[in-house]
Amino acid sequence: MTTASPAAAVDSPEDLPAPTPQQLAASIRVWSVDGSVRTLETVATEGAETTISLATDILFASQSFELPTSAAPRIAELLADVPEGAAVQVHGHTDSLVGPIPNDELSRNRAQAVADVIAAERPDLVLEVAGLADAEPVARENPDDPATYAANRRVEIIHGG
Amino acid sequence: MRWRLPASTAVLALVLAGCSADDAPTEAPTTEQADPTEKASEAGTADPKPADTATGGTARDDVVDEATYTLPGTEDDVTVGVLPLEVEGDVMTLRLVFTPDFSSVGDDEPVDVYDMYPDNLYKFRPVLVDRENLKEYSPISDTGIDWTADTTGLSAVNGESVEWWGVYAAPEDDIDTFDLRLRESLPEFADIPVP
Repeated sequence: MTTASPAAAVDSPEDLPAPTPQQLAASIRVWSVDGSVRTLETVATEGAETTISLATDILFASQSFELPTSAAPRIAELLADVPEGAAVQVHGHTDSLVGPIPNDELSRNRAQAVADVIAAERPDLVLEVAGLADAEPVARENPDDPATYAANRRVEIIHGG
Repeated sequence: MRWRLPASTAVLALVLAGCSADDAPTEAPTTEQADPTEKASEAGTADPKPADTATGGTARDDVVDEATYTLPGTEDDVTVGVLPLEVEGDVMTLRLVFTPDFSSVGDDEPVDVYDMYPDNLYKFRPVLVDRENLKEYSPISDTGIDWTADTTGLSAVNGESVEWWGVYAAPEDDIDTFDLRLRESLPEFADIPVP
């Protein structure tokens, strides 16, 4: 192989230059499992306020507000650093789409289910529970990207604000 | 109300009409909502379907769970079977068997898988949920291209079956089952065994 001939000017592959490592790397698309597994919670802190966002797709079956048994220990773990007697908001959210159960009712029931677990695990905390339906989306919904709807389906646990 | 289907060999009938999930795109123009009181087909009493398939051998006998639903606003039924999950190395393959029973088309007219699920304005991305470890598995994707079969490229005529596949990350934990959320407006398949 030479090292200078442009591909358009050669008659056979043997006449092409040796590719650079960068060209080789750019020519391979690597499929990766990265990003395809979503866990229950995301945690964000802004100033003194911490928001723990729980994915309701993982916590609840469709149209359900029954928690799996695995939820209580995980939620308790997430609340380990919340000070004794702190005020905690538990807010349920949905996406903008409407099913058999109205979104305000569904979001309230799911928030209450999470609050019930918190009350059992951390009876010292002062809870304020609300269902906000789709009033406070965190993602702009795009029909081509189901993840945008999923991001809005959540229960938030807010403390320290 | 718990929208889950236990994994079983029984054919389960689902009332789809008016049964969008919390997140269900009920305004989707392609799937008009029907009267919520409309009765679903009783899949267990439906006519048996031939075993031969549009993909040349998809065996509905192999499914670990199966459900039949009526598309909202229609009298078109679809039976979806879940084939055993396959895990190999870093990846896991989910295969679904779609069998249309559409009253709106002739028996020789192929139906795309794209038209066999509700809310098809929205991308078809079934997810596998591990509720023991609280994780959700979506199809592997790269720059927006999912590692799944194209539902517009698969079709079957009434009574025949066609297979859809999607590739996921292999389970990260030692688990026995997944719950399968096929579509936001459909009840979940529960306890799909992990090999």
